[in-house]
Amino acid sequence: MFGRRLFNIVWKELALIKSQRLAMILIIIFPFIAVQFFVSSFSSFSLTQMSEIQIGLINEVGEYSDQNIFNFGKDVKIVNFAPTETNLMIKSIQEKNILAGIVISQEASKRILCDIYYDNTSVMSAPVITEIASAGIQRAASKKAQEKLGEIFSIIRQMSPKIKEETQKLASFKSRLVSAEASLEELDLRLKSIDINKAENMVVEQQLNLTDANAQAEQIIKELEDSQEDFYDIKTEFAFLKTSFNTYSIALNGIVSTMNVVTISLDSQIASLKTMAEQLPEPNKSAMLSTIKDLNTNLTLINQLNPMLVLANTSAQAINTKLTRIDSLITKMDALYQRLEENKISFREKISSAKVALSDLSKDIVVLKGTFIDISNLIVEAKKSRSEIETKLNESEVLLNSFSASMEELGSIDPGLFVEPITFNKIKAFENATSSGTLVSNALVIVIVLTAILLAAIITISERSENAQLRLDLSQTPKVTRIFGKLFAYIIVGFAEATLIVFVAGLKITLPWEIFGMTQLGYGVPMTIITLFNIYFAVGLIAATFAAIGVAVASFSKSQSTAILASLLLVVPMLFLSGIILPLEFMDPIMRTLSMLLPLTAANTLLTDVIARDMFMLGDIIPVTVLLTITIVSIVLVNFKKTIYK
Amino acid sequence: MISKSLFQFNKILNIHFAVESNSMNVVEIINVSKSFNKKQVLNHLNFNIEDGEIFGLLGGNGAGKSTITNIIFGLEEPTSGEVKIFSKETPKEARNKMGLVPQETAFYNEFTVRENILFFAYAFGLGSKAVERSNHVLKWLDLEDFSSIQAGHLSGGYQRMLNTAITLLPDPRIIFFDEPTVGLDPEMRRSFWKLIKSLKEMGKTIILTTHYMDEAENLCNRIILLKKGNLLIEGNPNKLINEHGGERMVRFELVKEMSPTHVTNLSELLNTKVTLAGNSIYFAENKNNSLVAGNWIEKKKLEILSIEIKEPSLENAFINLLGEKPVEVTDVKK
Repeated sequence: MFGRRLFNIVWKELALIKSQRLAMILIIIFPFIAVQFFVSSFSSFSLTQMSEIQIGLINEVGEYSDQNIFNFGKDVKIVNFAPTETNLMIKSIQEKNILAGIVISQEASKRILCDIYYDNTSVMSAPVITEIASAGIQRAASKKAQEKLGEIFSIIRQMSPKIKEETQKLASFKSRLVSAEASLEELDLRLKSIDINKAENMVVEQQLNLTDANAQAEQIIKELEDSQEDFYDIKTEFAFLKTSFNTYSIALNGIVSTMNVVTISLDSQIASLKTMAEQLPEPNKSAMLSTIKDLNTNLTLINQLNPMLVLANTSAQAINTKLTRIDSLITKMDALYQRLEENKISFREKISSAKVALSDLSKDIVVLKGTFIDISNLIVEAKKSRSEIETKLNESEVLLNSFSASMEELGSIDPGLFVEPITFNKIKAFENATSSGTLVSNALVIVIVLTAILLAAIITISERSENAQLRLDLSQTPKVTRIFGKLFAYIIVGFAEATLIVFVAGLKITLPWEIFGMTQLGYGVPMTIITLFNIYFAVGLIAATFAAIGVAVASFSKSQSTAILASLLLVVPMLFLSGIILPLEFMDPIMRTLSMLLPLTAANTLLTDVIARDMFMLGDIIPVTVLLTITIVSIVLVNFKKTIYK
Repeated sequence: MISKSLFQFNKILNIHFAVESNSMNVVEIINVSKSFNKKQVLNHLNFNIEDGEIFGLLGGNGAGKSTITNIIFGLEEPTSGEVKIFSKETPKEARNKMGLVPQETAFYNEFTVRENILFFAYAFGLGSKAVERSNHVLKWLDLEDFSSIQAGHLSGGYQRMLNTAITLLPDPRIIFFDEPTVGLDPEMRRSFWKLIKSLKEMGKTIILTTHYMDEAENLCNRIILLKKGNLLIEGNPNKLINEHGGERMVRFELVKEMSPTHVTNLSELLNTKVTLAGNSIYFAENKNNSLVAGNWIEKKKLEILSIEIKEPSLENAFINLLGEKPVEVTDVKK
């Protein structure tokens, strides 16, 4: 009964698939187109067989000609640009007129600088093209290096006798080093004989003497300055004295003159009085005559003063003469002090100058002393270096001798070895595998996956919208039977597609004319019975897995368009992460690990292993486990989704 | 005349109901409640469906008909309460004894009629009897002539027939018809009614939901009326009509609108309320007052276009009980 029900569901599913127009396209036309065009487009891809490709070139270094740089095939066309046309070349890349651009220039150090311009918006081709260009340039550079190596090799062969000459020169150099050491010894001795400390002490002593002399001179200057002050006091006092004496002398002369006037006046007055007394009666006459007598006495006294006044006058003249003499002396002293003042300044300047000179001399002596120490140290170092140089020279001599021997040995080797030092042999890890096999597996994966997920989702939604699912939910056919029936139907569809693809891939019919670049139908991918068994086994598993995903997606989608969109949203990102479009090796390691858990990656890995690598399917544990797990999870999810009648 | 004859037919059915009232309960709804996201959709429902009856499950939109249907068929579990089928089985256990005729078609439009019938026959587990049973059903429902036609290309009526045929394939004892005649022409409606009645005569228990009250009146032995998850009323249609269907109403359609004074005078004359609605007047018929009213209108020289007597109906009962029409559908009765 279970078998009949299962068959019934499988029949139903296949009949529904048959009724879908999209199904026919997906099952029949799509596999043919996918395998024929997809494989045809990429099966001839090879890094060294690129064709009809244009590469821009700005070559500022003459010796790197186009042929030296590119050796990818005769169809690679070089588009040359002038050194000033870098922007034009970039624009050509942007406009896709050329695939990449190369600018070769040379640095001052003769190092070749190579700038590769590429279209970095192309995720896949950008790294590939840059790697190709880099490899081409490296190859050219390698050839150039090999040429240079050949030249070096011939030079090396000529070097052996020269090295021997150099060894002899080393011995001569060593003897000159010994003589240089003797000169150093003598220099050292002479330096040591110079008593720089004595000179230093003498300078210090002279500095002290100068300081003492300066102190004494300053003392004298001070005393002179003191005496100069006293002299100016005397000079002032003398000026006052001289003025006073002049006043006194004038007064004295006045007194003498007055005394003469008074004497004459008194004589006259006495004579008058005497006349008058004669005329006066007695007593008056006698009184008068007595007065006249007193007057005469006074006059006599006054006349007695005259010689004193004369003497005083003479003395005054003598004093005046002395004062004049002193005044002359003071004037001379003034001049003397003036000269002393001038000499004092000059003296101080000279002392200061002498001090500076001595100080400089002292510093020079210190520097000289340091220099003497440095020279002495240098001599020690030089002696040490000489010893080391001698050691090194001895080692060099040994090395040169050894090198000379090696050069002689090297000279006996065939120089052709250096032109092509490595021979590359490309050995396939999978002996019978071809890139066509990989591409066929890629095409098969895409076809199976899209067919299974899209048709399963579309038909599941269709059944739901037609209420047929409700009928089946109320029927005696368990849900699990229905799900498995569906999966079996997609396994059968997958087998049909696989048959078509395997048939097309296995064929190899040369076409009479080229259609869209295709020259043959099919690719002659080798297929054994075991390979076919593995392919159908893998295809069945993949179809079941993606049909289960499709049913699960449909179960949780409200409409057919949502289910299709959700299916594509699942498949397209997985397609990028599966290794079909971009190699897994390009991915981040964490993402690569996560990618391995994606059903599409597992499907692609499984089919590639089975078709291209001819591996046994059940040996691919990880992909098989991933696909089985996802199938079971999807079935469980679908099984738990309830149908409600509304 | 039609209404009268149907009324008579219902009386016969009621007698039948009375005779069969002691029969066993095939479906027992015991204190069933259901809530979605704290919203109570069914509230402690209690009712039974008896063997061999045509049971009407009526209610407006949002009454809970779909929810109780899902629970009866085991597509949903009640939040509380219990459903017993044939006294002891759970809905899931009894699923093979129940058939659902959905309102919308439930088959593969891409398949032919025969392919659909055969596929579902196998899906229903008929096994070796599938072909025989399929042929029988095709013949029974007059689908033989269409057996090789793609189901999606059938007319609406025959699509409904195919829909019913698939449900009948496993010969279920309980058959649920969900709005079986919506959008069908009168002839096809009669065919469906005939089919339902014949199924009843075969001893099947029929659960029927419909928005056509005449359909419920004519077919159902017993109905329940749900409102917002609550059981509003339960009983046979005649009883409901008598109790809640209102009075027998007379409508006079006039050429011109009657003046308010005339309406007042007529009301006083008839000793009943007269309602004016456009060119028509309505009043409850009582002791030949329609004859009195007709004479009075003639005397007033008001020209009569038509006279119509509206019987008490299940629809009126529905309106009176629910305060709303069952649903906006074409009034087939008119």
